[in-house]
Amino acid sequence: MNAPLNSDLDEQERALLAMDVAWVQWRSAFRQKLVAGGDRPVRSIFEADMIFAIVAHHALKGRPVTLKELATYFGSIATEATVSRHIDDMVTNGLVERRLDANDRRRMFLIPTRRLEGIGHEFEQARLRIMREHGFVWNGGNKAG
Amino acid sequence: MGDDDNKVTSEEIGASPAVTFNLDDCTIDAQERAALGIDVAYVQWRADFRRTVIAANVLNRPWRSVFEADMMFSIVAHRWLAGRAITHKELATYFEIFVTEATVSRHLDDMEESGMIVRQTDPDDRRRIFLLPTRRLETIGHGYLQARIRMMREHGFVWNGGEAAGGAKAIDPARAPE
Repeated sequence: MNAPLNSDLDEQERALLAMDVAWVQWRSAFRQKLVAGGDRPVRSIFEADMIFAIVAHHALKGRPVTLKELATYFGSIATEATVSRHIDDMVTNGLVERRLDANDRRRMFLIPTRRLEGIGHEFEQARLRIMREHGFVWNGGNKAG
Repeated sequence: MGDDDNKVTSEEIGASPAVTFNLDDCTIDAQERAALGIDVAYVQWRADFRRTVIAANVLNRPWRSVFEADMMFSIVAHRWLAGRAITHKELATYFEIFVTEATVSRHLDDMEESGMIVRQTDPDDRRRIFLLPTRRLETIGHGYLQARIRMMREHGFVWNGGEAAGGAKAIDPARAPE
């Protein structure tokens, strides 16, 4: 099983793979910590992480995402029912709040809580560190497309 | 965990109020926001990519938990590239906090059926099963990794050729979890 390797994956691609390995290990430890803190274990954690990111990103842009819009992101990945169950868990854990649009009661906004902000800092700082350690360095957004 | 992580304890998280707040008070900084931006772009790309893979007809049922599966592919590929193919048992260890060993096995069934990996029994120890990437996984892997690299770059994260102090080698991520 230790045969010489014959793959044309370049160094940058390999660095990204190594980053994922480090990330899974960090994420595993982080989950243990949250569960130890009393959080209910969450299903499909990597999917949940993406939902948190989308909810936070939209709120930070000044207009919270709706449940329907969120489900659209996951079109080919998860059903609306699955996304909705994720939101149930997040509300139970005090990380997201549902709020009906006062102007259109069919629209449900998803709002991040202070608690999500606190957890979000640690989560993003760990990711940024792991990215940096694998050579992906922040340039201050100078070349942001 | 590195010393520069913004560490929060379980107690602080438990004590942090589950209430919404004003955008003006938010302390998430520009770099953290950029990381969120990567995720948003990534989910959109990943949903499209999933359609491409489904259209290729390599698996005749929907793929389960794609983000989880992606991490499994990365670990299998990384370990193989590091010259030490990972075993089924080692892979399950990485995920033991997230999913059961049966779930890992079902993922591997899908991966094998779709021709992304091959399971190979260790001739010296028949209880050990190595997970080997295929050429098909490599082809898909290029598309996947290049898209992620592009999205990081578009959000301001630029590859420095692995020159960062305490780089990947210092971590030895190929090391199996204890």
